[in-house]
Amino acid sequence: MSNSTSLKQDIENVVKTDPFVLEIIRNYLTTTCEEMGTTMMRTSFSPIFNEARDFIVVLYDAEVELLAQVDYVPAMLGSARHGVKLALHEVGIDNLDPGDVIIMNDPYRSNNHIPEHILIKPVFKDSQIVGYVGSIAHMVDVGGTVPGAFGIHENCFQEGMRIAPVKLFKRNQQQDDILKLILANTRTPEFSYGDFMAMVGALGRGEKRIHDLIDRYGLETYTQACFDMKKVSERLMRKQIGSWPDGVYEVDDCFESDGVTPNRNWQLKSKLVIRGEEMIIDLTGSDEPANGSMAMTYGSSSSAGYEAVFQMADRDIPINEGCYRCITVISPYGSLTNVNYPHASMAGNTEGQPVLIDMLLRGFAQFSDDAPAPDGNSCGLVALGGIDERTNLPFAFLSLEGIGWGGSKYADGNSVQFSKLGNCATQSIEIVESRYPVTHLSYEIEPFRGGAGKHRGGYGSKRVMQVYGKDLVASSGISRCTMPAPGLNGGSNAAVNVLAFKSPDDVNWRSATDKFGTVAPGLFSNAPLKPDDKIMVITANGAGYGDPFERDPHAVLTDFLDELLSPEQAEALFKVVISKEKVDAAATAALRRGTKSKAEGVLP
Amino acid sequence: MKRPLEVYERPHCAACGQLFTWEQVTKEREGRKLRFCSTNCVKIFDNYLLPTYGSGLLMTLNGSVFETA
Amino acid sequence: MNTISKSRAGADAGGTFTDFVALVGGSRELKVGKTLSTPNDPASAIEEATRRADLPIESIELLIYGTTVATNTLLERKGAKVGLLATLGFRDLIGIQRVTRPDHFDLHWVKTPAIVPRRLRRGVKERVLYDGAVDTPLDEANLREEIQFLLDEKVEAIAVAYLFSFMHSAHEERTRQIIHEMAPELQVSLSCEVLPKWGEFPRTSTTVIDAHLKPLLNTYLKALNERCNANGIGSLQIMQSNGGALAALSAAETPARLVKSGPAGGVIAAAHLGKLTHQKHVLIADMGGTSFEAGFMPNCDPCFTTREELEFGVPIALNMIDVRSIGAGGGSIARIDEAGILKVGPQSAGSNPGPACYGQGGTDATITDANVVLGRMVEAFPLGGHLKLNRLHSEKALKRLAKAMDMPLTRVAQGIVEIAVNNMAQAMRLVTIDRGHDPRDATLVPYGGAGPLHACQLAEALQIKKILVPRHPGALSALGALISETRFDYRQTLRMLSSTLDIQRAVKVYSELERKAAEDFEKEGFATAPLLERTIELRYYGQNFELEVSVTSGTLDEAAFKQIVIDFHAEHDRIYGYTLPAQEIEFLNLNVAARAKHTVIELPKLDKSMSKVEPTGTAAVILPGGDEPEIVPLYDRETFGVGAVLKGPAIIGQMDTTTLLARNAIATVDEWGNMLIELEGANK
Repeated sequence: MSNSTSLKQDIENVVKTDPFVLEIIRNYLTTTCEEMGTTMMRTSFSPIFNEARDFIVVLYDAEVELLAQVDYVPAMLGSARHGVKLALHEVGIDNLDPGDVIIMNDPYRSNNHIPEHILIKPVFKDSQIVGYVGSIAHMVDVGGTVPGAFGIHENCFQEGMRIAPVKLFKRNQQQDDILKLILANTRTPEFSYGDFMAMVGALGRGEKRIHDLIDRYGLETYTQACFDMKKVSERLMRKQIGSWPDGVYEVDDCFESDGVTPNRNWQLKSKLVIRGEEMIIDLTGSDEPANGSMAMTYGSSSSAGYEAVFQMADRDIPINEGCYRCITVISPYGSLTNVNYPHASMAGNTEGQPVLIDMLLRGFAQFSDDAPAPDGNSCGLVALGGIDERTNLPFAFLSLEGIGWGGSKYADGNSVQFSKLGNCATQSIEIVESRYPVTHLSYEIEPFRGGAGKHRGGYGSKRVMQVYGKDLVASSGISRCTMPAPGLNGGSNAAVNVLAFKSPDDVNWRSATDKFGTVAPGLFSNAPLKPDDKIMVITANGAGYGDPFERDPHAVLTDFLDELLSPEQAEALFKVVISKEKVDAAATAALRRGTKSKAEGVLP
Repeated sequence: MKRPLEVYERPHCAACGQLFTWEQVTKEREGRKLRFCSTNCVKIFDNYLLPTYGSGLLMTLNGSVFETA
Repeated sequence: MNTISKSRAGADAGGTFTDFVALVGGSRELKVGKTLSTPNDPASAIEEATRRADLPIESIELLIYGTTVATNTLLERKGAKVGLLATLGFRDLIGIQRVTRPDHFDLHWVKTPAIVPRRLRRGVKERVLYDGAVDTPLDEANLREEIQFLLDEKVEAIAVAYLFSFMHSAHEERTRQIIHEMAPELQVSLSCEVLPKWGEFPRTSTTVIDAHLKPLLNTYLKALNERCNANGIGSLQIMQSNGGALAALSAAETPARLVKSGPAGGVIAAAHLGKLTHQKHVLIADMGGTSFEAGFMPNCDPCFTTREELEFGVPIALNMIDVRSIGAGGGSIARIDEAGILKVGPQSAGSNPGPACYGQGGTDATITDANVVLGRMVEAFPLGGHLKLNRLHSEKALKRLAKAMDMPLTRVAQGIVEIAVNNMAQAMRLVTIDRGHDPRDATLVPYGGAGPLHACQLAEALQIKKILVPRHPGALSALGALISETRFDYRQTLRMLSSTLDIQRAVKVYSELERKAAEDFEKEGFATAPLLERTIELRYYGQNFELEVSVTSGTLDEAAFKQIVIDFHAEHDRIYGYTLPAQEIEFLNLNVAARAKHTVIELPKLDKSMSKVEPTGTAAVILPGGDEPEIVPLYDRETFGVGAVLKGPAIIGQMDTTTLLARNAIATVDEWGNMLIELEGANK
């Protein structure tokens, strides 16, 4: 990093706001987002909204440029930047009035995928737009062929109802016509309505805060501060990119299946291009859109791109529009990473983003020590639906999982942690069992299955459930069930994710392909279940970093003592001999003497 | 009465690929009129995409990035 | 025989200082003492503090003691080696935690290790279902095997946390019986006793914390109790995180309740002062050396939370006083980041070396240093009565920043304070808004060593027009301990929907909780029954966050439940701005708060009156918003009498803190020596 005096002078040349006022305004805006987020969390209905915190809150300035955000889910960075702008311009900035709220969920308009609903409200002061407040949140059901939306679809019509940008509120008047239309097309109208109201309530809060801020500092100072905040972040990001070595860093990967087309995977190509202070994330050359929804929208792939950059960039850089000015995500329309109408994109968001983010981090790994090995690359999504016989009403239960994160130069990966694209929390078992006709048989950390390394990948989890009721179905969006993510710098590949079923008359656990004839073991919709059927999800260990034979023997011992690694595995994978619950140093040294690194290779 | 545009009738950027609903930047390249979402994307097209992929790039692009009017 | 007046005392043992306050019965005097904490030998600090307060220790009838020992033991993981017995298949809840991380973009964050390592987390064959039905009876042979394993591993305490234990506690109780058959001396914590509330992860976590603390806290509190007895102190009670006090030996049985008891004292005192002086709502600003706590009290009643986490991923879900902490204290360090932007905190210079002006070798510029440079902390009033602040050191520390920012020294000092004030104001704003209130309706009560110095600026930032500066802001936590009363919280999860309401079940649960309360109070030695307050937690079916509303202490019938629902709708509307009148309601937790009938504590009044008070000197101060120093009057708070009126700008010094009176402020001294400040022009 070049010296900070010239950077400071650099910034001084453009920043006109008093530096203390700038800092105060920035903090104020972030606190406002936090306040909006807390309101939404506390008043919303869908557990995936509030317990899993699958939403984002954003503030924009008068130019529809991002000022501040609280992102409980980074997966929406792209749709917050592109989708919102798109929706506002389509409605027409001149057609906006105070008290309007616009709603949109269209994947083709740079949203992530159909369940994400974008709500935006213009903030007026003296008949002039001074900014916008927005939130993007996941609604539990949007119609479509699968309760809870997650599953494999072949086109957007199967996925659910698409909402083009329309006004949900006009001049503070709820538009009942629009609301009726939307709620008639979801299986959970009460929950969805509650969620919408939670979002609208939060937007009202945000609007008031912006008014308070302008009252306090005056419109001129506020406007200049918005301009300056973006300028500062832009300079910081340019400096950051400038500190990375120029070059074109190519990484290829694939989606192992689209759940519909047998015997083929779908190629992803990426180039991380660094030129001076600009970065291009180029996905040109990736395959055409998949036939099943394991494909992405521009909102989704751009989110993944920005996510990867922010993971690697200095965390002190305040995230706003300024950061994005020197980053461009190229995702050709009509490709696997930017599907054209009417291709589906449901699973591509939750399962595609993790793969894409880690793929780009492998690009970073070509020049930076800070990039870790890939993680288990999945959200472990299983959706169970049917009729709850206790109430005779339909239910839709969504289960998400943490995965093992990849090892890095500095440490082992964390175990059972949500994938990088989000930060969803697990749901309480007791609450789930009280609400849904679901019983858990177990939920534990799963012992070693992959990801050996000098620093190993984190462990995954194992969850076993049973579901009761009538007309029971299971849908799933779990990728990396057959092709594990590759290790880094000599580390072993990650494990694969496992989804399996067992009826009372099954001897062994069976994959969905075996039991239901699905194309992919983790991507399918509406497999029929019977009460007493068991469902098991085992998430993958993250990939390993570095040569496993260089791992500290005492770290290996700790895993053994934690009942996560057997002595046989210790010896075979790490060449560490454990006897009588202690490291046999002599035997270990002997085993390791003259052994060359034997980590598994990278993805074919 | 006029039917609003469907997504498949809307313009997409020849450089970054996103759908855009604001004012278009139109430029002629390799004998074709191309749609761009911003002047920044024009630069990316000229300084990166064309040099990297050559004129053959245009044949891979979706129809909605070409200006027909 | 010499008749010594009996006194009631409160003490707060903080990280650096132990504060002590005693109310002497006969003379109705308030004696205050402050000494360095002695964490390894807590009784010594108490003894020294009583000496400094000039109070014979044997005159103390009741000492209520607030300590951070539970919090620190937990943070440093210095407690017992714990074994966990969980339902088979679910032993990793505290290892898995919530699957979340605190920062999205920090690739290198390491997950908080669980208090109990995996090896010591054992699964037991038993299973209770969501409705309390036993799916798998407790397999006692299997249980004994697992207990033996833990005993062989030499655990010092066992936590038992089975799924749905709050619906069916027999398995956990039987488990304890068997543990004590096999190891009669071993400490055991049961989740059905520690926290009979649904949510298996927070419940297990809280139970594990209880077990982790039990052996050490037992020893600590027993020893302290004995030392106090030996010194002639009548009885010793301990402050809990819910603001109530418990006999030391009772507190030792449920040590989890002592975690984060630190802020409770100040809140209790502030609430008391608010009620005493007829404030509407109270907003506290407790600024110490390292951290700043904000808390809101609508109608001068403390607010509670059950979502506290000391460390990320380690919840302690007991009912505790709700304060929000940020890293903004007198010792918070100011630094410049890559873009030349000034940041203040959360890193702190602590007390060692402390701010540069302490002269203990610190070179970082801190908030205290900024205030010294601005002339707002004066030599005439050294810290704690003895620590003189060296201005030259402060200037030197700030010079480095001033040079880097290419700004005058005083401008940088102003900026540091402005940013710190803004950060604190944000925290304060969030705690009021969280409860659906507007900060402008509240009276600000600043305390801690640095609170009153920033009070007027904080009030202005939030458009608050009234401030109440307690007589001894630095010792407010000790005062709070002194006036706190015995309080036990009882709760039981009982899930019902409005469509399937079973009133009789609710009646039974409340009766049981109230019976337990009466029993516990009798055990504590109270002659009279406790005062009981019922509340219920409920939400719209589908929501995930409950609101708590009061429940009648009379007959619980259909009408009473109708009222509960009406109150809930109203509260939801007040906080969130909307209701869903047709939506099904989900009742969740029944709570009973049991309090000892309030011993009337009368704070002593000032013994002199005056309409005007004379300054004892002057000070050259750069006021907020000013560039140049102004000469302002300097007052000594000890000289104040009832009715004294002071106009700002002014500096008011005292042993434990300094108050900066703004230009547009007028302060009036009340009968108890509190300063009531009104800001003109605020709240436009």
